[in-house]
Amino acid sequence: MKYYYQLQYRRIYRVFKDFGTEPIIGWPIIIFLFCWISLSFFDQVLYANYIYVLIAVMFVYSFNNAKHKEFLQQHFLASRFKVIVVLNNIIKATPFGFILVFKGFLIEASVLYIITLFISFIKKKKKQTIIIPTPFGKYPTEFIIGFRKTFWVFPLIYSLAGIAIYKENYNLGIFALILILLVCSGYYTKPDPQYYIWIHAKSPKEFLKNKIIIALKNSLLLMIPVLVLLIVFYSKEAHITLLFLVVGWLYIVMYVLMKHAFEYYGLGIFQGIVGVLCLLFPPLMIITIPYFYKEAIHNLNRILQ
Amino acid sequence: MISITSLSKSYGQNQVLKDISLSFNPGEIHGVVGENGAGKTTLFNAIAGIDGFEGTIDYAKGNLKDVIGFLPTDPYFLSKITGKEYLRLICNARNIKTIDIREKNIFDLPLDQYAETYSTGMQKKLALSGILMQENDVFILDEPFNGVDIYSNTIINQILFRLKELNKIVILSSHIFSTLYETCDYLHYLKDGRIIKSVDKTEFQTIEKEMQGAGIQTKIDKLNLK
Repeated sequence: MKYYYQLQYRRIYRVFKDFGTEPIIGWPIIIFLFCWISLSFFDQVLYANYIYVLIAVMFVYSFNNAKHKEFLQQHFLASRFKVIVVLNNIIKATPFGFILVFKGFLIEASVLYIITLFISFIKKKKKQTIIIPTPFGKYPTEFIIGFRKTFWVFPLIYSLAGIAIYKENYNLGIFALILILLVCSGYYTKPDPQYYIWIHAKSPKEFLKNKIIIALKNSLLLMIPVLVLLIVFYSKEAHITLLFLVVGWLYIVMYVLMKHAFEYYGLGIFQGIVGVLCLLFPPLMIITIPYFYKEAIHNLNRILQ
Repeated sequence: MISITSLSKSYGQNQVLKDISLSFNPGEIHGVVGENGAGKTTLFNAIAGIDGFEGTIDYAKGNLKDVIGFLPTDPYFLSKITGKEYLRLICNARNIKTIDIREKNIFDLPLDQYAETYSTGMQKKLALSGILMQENDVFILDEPFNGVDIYSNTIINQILFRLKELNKIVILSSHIFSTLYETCDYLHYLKDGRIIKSVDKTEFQTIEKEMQGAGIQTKIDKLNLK
């Protein structure tokens, strides 16, 4: 078990190296950014304590790799396997737990750890065989995969938009729109295997243009129910709704570009940091979008030409 | 025609391919053989343009990358993509819009199931179907027979003969010599990153003997199995 954790340490060390930084520099930066983003989150978001627990649970759950767990189960004694799984999840939850305790949310911190323990014993399905129909079959890319993973979110978001109309709360409607844009951006957080880029007989510019058009079209398709409700019931604020749509689209475009601008392991974490920064201060995208575009073209040139 | 001249490839200090020169003509099937780690996959990646290299690869008919169908040893499938969607993605990538995917499903694959749930052999057949639908001029097939059932092996053999008739260039690797005897016109023996022998059909046996030669019995004795 000791050697297992030594190996985990070495893996993290290598992630930093692949990222192009020394761990001694990388760790303080990550810790600082995590604390800063978390504390800003508490300052700016309503009911942040509940949402923060939810984010932490999602983080712990999504990092529960079924294959990794199966590997541990195959090679470790049953009792030790359980200890490792629980310990792994506690380690993942601890940064969030620390922030909750620091902010004085002790009950929320306890709930987080209880859910974490519960998650440890959930058997994650390795391969799902139920085929979820999607409207994105014509261009099977990130949207078809992402939608199948997150389809259950949309009825909830659409219900939220419905409540916004019923309760006459325009801000809640905009929040529903933002949620869809965030979910869609999340579809672009996993790098494509090189083969899936290489097969395209397109120039880097054409490739990116195609990807961006698909992202905009498909995200619009998912937003239509919310957009229609907001424009019909809040026609006076239609210009604000459209402004949110445009900024949200820019956000998705940034994620598409980021996905191809960087190839190293840990892309998701980097995208998360940039994403939160641009969410807090959207004008930052004036700098990030051209920069990521340039980097993406540079990277794609190597594979596509 | 594809002409490879003085191709070398290194990963850091480790030189994996050393000064390889080969040429492949339309209507020919070439086999590349060698032990595990000899550099076959690296050579294929270099020809396909997936990996960088030193030296030159010339192709008379334009951009080689855009007309190559590459079947990797272990094809990777994106999660939550059905077989049909995978084939559509592969065709979209080469701007092929009008294709009857079901009609061309000659391996009778369950196209409405997620590709990631397919068995190894089925995944290989799906990946092969994809590159055949792309209407490529050049085919690089890394272990096309691996994990595939006998009936499908026969189909793959027949496909190779049809590609040859259609004047395509086919380069493949296999560890099963019988399949190479049947299909290939030329064999190239890759050892420690170098092509140490290239022969036509009449001399295939010399390569087979050379590969089987080196003290297998002594190696097994070293295991000291109990």
